[in-house]
Amino acid sequence: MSDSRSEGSPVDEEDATPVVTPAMELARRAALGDVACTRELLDAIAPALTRAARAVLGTGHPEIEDVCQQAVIAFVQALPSFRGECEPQSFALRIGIRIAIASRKRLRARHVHHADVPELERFASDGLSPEASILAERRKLLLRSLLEELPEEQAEALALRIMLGWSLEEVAAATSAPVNTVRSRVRIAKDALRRRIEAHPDWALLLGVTR
Amino acid sequence: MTVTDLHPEELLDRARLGTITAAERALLDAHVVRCPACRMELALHHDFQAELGASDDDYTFDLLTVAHAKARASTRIGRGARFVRSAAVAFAGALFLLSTVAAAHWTGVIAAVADFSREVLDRSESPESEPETPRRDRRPDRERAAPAEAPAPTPDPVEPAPSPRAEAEAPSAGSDPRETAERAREPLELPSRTRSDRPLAADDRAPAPAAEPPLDDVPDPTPTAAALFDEAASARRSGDRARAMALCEELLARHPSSREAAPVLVILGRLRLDRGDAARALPLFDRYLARGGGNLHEEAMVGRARALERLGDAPRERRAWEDLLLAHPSSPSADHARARLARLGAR
Repeated sequence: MSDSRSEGSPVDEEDATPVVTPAMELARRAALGDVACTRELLDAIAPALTRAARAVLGTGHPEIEDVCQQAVIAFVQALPSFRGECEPQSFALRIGIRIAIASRKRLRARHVHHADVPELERFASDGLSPEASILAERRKLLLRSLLEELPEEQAEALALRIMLGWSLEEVAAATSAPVNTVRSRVRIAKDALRRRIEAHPDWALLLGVTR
Repeated sequence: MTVTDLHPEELLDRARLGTITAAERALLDAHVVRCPACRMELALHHDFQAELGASDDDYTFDLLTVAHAKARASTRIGRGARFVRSAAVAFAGALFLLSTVAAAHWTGVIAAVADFSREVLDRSESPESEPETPRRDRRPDRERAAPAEAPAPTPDPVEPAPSPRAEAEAPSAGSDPRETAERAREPLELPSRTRSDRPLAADDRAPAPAAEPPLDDVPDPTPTAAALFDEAASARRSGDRARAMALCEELLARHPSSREAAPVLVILGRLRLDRGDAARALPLFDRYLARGGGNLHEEAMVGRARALERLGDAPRERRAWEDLLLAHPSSPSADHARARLARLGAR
């Protein structure tokens, strides 16, 4: 997942001058209509974008293809407005996360529940016990369902932080929001997560798995 | 605001990056002990790392390459022209179908495409119902209960005998266009002993690998529960659900008291349910629930209710959903349960 992390806000801390990275230069050219640069840029972000969609929707979710297509089209169309405040990949991932969350919310509104069961068949020989593997699936399912209920900004911040492992600064750069705003969004979202856990003692099982 | 409302986000960041100091670690640990949200966050971070680490990104590589071309076209033709965007999405889908066929000549790509397609296809109720279609409808009717599992050549080792309904639903074995790609990947994903094992599914007609050493052709006569579980997991990951189910059945038959047996009851139940075999899935969920408690209690209750839904047993289905809402009111399936109860009508 390390490649899905942004590489930090590309800003020179000495004089606060934005640093233009090769990827950002690629994005600039792509925004001007350079097809080769656009292709190269998309090739670079595609794997991370897929993982982001899979994280939010769940592996094997039938909406993944649609979300990826929508995200890549939205990314290309948004390139002219990309201000270089973060890496293009972070910009793309943020778009992908938003579209994936919106997809979950839309499905929830339509009472479509095809992904609302743990992917039990994903039991794996990864060193965890069968129970631990399945409980991990349940934890992920819990977070995914929470994303459907949170306001968009909070859901986005929580997904970027927990699913993709971004720092507060990285989330702030990608969302063009102050760090303290992101901190507040994450805090509120985590409080919602905590309330869910505390309201249902049986969910303590979800926390009892150690590695 | 309590102490657990102030989450040490910077310490969590440093812990993730491995740059946390011993003193900071002590502070973080002290917080995490009291804060279930941060404890959950740490666990989830590991969970997603494990899940997203294994990827089938080649598929999306092709997908996005096509989509990119269409997106560029739509952007250049006229930014803000909504109809162009819509056409681009539709055209991207059509082009992707063509590129998928062309990619069949490239073993690596087709294997990756097949791998992803299997993941999606496995959610379909009738994956074998469209054997001639290389790309399935990406919006399947999940409630369509068409079976896809080939009839087993021997009696079910888990239940005494399959129900007449299950037998009637079982179609004849048919060729699966995904098998070629699955076998192309199999040597990469399965341990050598497993590779040489003959698949237990009746519909697997692949010839035995001629180059395998003779010793490898002899399956372990007494595989452990853990070995069977791992083999079933490998089979599942490679898309061979029939073999995964057969291995789960073998595990239950050979090691009914093992620690793997309990979750396998639910796992096999889900696999059977996904294949449209609700009649044979239901007793598995019942067996799990009869044991009392268990980490998969909620999943077993959901599986039981869904099995009864498929079987059209409205009174028992209604009770099953009501029981689920009582025991697990915040279940991710709670919305579905309420929707079903509304549809079934209040008693």
